[in-house]
Parts: sequence; C-alpha cells; structure tokens
Amino acid sequence: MSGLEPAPEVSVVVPVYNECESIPHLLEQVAAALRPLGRRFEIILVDDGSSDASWQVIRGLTPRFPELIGLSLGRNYGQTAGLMAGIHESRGAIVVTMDGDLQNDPADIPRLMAKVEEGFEVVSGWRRRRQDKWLSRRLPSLIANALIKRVARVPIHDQGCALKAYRGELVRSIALYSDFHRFVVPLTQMGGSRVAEVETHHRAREFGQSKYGISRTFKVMADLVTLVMITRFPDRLLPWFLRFAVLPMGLGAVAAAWTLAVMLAPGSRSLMVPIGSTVLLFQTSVAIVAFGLVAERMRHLAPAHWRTAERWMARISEPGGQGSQAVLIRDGEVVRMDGEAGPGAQA
Amino acid sequence: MGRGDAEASPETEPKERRSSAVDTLGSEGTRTAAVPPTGNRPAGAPRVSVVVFCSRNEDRPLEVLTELRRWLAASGLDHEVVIAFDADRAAFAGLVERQAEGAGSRPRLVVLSARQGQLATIRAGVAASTGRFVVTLPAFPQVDLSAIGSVLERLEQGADYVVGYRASRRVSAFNWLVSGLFRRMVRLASGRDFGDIACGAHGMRPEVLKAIPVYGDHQLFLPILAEREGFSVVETPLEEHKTAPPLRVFSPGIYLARALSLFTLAFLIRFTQKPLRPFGALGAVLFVVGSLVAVVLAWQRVFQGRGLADRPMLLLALLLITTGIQVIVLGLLGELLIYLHSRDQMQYRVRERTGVTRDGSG
Repeated sequence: MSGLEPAPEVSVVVPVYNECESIPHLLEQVAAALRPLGRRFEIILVDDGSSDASWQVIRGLTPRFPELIGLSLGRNYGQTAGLMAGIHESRGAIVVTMDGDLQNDPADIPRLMAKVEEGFEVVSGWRRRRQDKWLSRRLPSLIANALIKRVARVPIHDQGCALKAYRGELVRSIALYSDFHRFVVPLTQMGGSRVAEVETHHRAREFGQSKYGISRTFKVMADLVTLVMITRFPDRLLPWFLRFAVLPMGLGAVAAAWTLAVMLAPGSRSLMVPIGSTVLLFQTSVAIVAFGLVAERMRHLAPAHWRTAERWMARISEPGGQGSQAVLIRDGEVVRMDGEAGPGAQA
Repeated sequence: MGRGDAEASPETEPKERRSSAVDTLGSEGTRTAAVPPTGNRPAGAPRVSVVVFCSRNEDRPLEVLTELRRWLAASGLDHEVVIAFDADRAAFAGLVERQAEGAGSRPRLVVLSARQGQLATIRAGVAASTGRFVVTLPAFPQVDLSAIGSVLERLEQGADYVVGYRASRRVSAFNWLVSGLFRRMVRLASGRDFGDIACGAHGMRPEVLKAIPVYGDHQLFLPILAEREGFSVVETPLEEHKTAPPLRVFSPGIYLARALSLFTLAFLIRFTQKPLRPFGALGAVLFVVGSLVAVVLAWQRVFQGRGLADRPMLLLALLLITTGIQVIVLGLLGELLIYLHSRDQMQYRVRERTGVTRDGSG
C-alpha cells in the first residue's frame, strides 16, 4: 500500500444498466452530497454490460470526477454480480450502495454514514413514501418485505431499498451470488450485525425503463427457502432436511396402520394399495434423511472460509479502552471494521 | 442457404435486460482480471497461430496443409502452423512429417494419446500454440483460406472470439433441415444465434480458452461458454472452399448425442446458479397435482363411501407427492452446493476499468 494515496473513507457503489441519461446527474449529486463533508471518497460505477452508451458516458466523465472508478463487465450478468464487482473494488471503511436510476437521493448518503459511525454495521434506507405504481411495484414489495421480515428475521421495513450503507469489511466478506442482492442484510445478519434504518427520499423515475416486473414472485420464494436454509440452519442441515420428511413419515405411519387394519379385518381384501402406499412414503422419508446426511458431508468438505466469513462477528473491548469495537473473525484472525490499525488488524 | 436471416451481428448483441426478475444466467467461471487488448503472450510471439484440427475419418490434413503453406507464404503473415490430431488419426502425423521434410517448413504436431473428440483436439492444438491470436481450421477444405485474414482482422479490432459462417453454402435439403433444427436448439440453449454451427474456422485470443470451463464435445461450445464468461464473441462471413465436400449424413446416434449435450449445456447455463428454481417448480407441480388427486380420492371416500384399498389411483397420488418432495429437496441440496462454493466462483469478468489505478504501478 506504500506510496499510494490513502484508502478512501467512503466508497459509493452503483451498478448501472442502460442508464446513460442518469449517470451524469447521479455523479453530480453524489459529489455534491459528499464533497462538503471533506472526507475522502470514491464512486464506483459498475456498468453491467449495458447496450446503450452508459460505458462511454462513464469513460467520458472520468477526467471530470477524480473520485470516479468505472468498471465495465464483460456482459450483462445481473444486478448481484454488478454489486459484487463494485464491492470487491471498493476500499472504503464505509461502503454505500445505491441504484443508478436516481430513484434514491444521494443527499441521504451523509445521514446513512452518520448512522454507521454511530456504531451500526448495516444501515438500510427506508422509502417511506414510495413513488411507484401500487399494484405492480408496491404490493409485491409489501408482500416480499413481510415474508423476508418473518422468514429471515430481519427487522427492517424496506428490504428492497437499494440505498444502504455498510461497514466495508463486513460487506466485502459476504458471498453474494445469483440474485442475492436482495438478501444482503439477512446475510450480514447471520454474523449478528447491528442493523439500523434511516428514512430516505424516493423519487419517481425520470429516465429510462423500470427493470422489474411482477413475474419474479416464484423466484423470490425459491430464493427465500434457500436463504432460510443458509441463514438459520447453517450448522443443522440434517434437522433442516428432516422437516421435509415429516409429511411423508406421518402419512407413512397412517398407511402402516391402515395396512394392519386391512390385514386384521375379516374377509380377504387386496393389500396392494395399502402396502404400496406404506412403502412409497417410508422410502421417501429414508431418501430425505439420506439427502440430509449428504448435505452435512458437503458442509464439512466446503472450503474453510465458509465457516468464518459472514458468520463470525464479535465485539471486543480492550482493557483500558472505552466502549467496544465490532470486529470480524475471519480465517482465525481478528479483522477490525473501522479501518484503524490495531492488534490483529489487517496487514 | 444455411443462413436464413443472415445478418451477422457485428458486435456481441446485448440481450434484453435480465433483471433480477429473470434468471441470472450464471456461468461457472472464475472472476478474472481484464484481458489486455494485445493478449498476454510475449512480444516475440508470431502474430497468428493457425491451428488445424484433425479428428474425423474423412479429414484430409495433407491437402489442407499444402494449400495452407502456399497461402501463408503468399500472404506474408507472421505465423506458425500447429496441427492437432485426435488419437485415432495419429497415423497422419508421420505422413505430415514426411511431407514437411520436402516442403522445408514443419508445422508443430500435437497428437492426443487417447481418443477424445473434436473439442479436446482443438484445445490441445491451441494450448500448444504460441501466437498472439489463434485461428482454427478443420483438416478438410471447408472455407477459403482468406478466412484467416478476415478472422484475424476481427480479432485485431478487439473481439475476443470470432465464429465464422459460410455466407454462400451449398447444402442438401436434409442437412439444411437438420442444421436448422440444431441451430434452433443452440439458440435455445445459449440464447445466442449462430449462423453456421458447423463452420470450423474460429478465431480467438488464446487466453480465452484458459478462462472457460472444459466442457462439451463440439467446437461451438467454445464461443457459447466464452460469451457466458463475458468475452466478446462476434461472427464474421467467410467464403466456402471451392472444393468443399458435401456435408455427410451421420448416424442417428451422433445426432442424439449432440442433442443431449446441448440439453445439458442449456441446463448448466440457465440454472447452475439457482438449482432450486427449476427443481422447485417441477417438484411443486408434481406435489400439487398429487395433492389434487388425493383430495378427489378423499372426497369420494368420505362422501361417496368408495373404499381406498382397491384404488391404485391412491398410489399414483402418493407417488406424485413423494416425488415432488424429493425433487424439491434435491434442488435444495443443489443450492447448498452452490452456496458453499459461491466464494470460489465470483461469476463476473471485468472487461475494462477507468479511474485511479492502485496496484503498485500507481
């Protein structure tokens, strides 16, 4: 790191897809919000394989904004990969993520940062007054929020708000893939992060097309089931799989009793269907138990960092120091999240 | 003929937004640094490696090499020639060497030690090449050799992978039908339409091949996988060779094998990142249908007094329900596998970066 400019204090990560009209406004507004604070910051724009001139716009603006870092992805990978690329590139002690469509107001960023510095590891925006169509956007989002809140046990109102701020080390340590950008907060929660909410402004879309639809319901549901598995049962995979065996096992017991009843009843009746049902249901239960055992084995064979990264967060109070400090425990080492050097801090 | 709606997409056509609503068509690759535009081979490397691959019975490598030698000499290109043989074509290697002695310039020979098919032969040939760009050619007269120039031009313009298509191609009705069908299947599997799925003249930066997973049994898998990896894949029109042999009719087994491998590819491309989506959907359908049948049976048992013990329909209902549950659980197992290894597969590739540089060079 020697000889280079010091790492920025704040990284603003914005994945963009076909937003060439918004980008200049976005940069202006982010810069206008952050420059008065007098903090070192960087803006990372990730062009997720746009088909319009987004990347040319970003390149053209680079000389005007010394804080700007542009990444161009090889193709359109989807929002999660765009977010992840930006987060990996970031170096700030605080990482702020937002959408590139200007529906988030960059003027809210300082308030989110302040909340992080108050001691929260994750601060989520809350679009209390959303400027979207009710049926196609707000209703699905209400349902999704209620579901995520209940299922993933994350106490925030607006899971879908892209404007969020994190402790850099924390968000850089979580594994995001596929469509998990919705679940960053639940994933950070696994390790016990403290989450706060800040009300943010929400503006109607000025440029471009909305990129969501109502069709994603099933996919979100499937993803939620996965999320429950990896956040709530990471160490108890066999019990998790056994849940799916409850129904066949229960029905199997009923079928077995039924078989017995038919056998003991006077008169000769065919046992084909009762016995067949019993066998079928017990076979399924056995198969699911076997799947659960395979899952446990897979977890033991998984790379070691899986067990440490997002799942271990702790607070350390130094003797003689005041208050406690949030740290990550990663690969057997303490990683501080405030960017300061200290015992066990990152090299 | 072989190319119905024949506009070559000049650039990698950006597809419609795959928003978070739609599947993120995941790929299996690793996150790699941006490939430098000039390739990563040393400055003294030849400008182009022509890799001739020979894996089929009817290949005529001697004829192709003779013509290639003449064409390359006339073109004045800074080049090298590599010829790769599948194991059962190894006998040709000796012939090629003997021929080379007379001609004075010897190509690099690569002979696979076990029969591994066309794609492995190509991979071996490219791995053995040293040029900054690679152009592959089949070992029979398929395209006019001016193809080398056209493909090279596209690569030097910045494409990572170039797929040739024969603009004027003579094919029989049967082959037109079959290749049309396969072309459609390729489009379904990969989301990308290739005008000529059988053209062996491809061009690439050699590092592309290192970055894409080893998968498949057909040359066309390379551009499909390269595009999934985030490389720019373009098509370019080529002239068919004047003495190109007519496309032969293969045995049904070969067509079936190819269709199956395309199906696997489609599955891998579309669902690798999210196995619970297809498995969950299938399992849910089976479970719901089974439950509906069970409800009907229960209704008839309770209200119409029809006993269940002599109704095989109950077995069907239970079979559907139990299969549904098992399919869903299998999907979950798949999700777990992806999650446990998600950190090793950050599935994006950064093509270009602007702004302050950081790493040492400052």
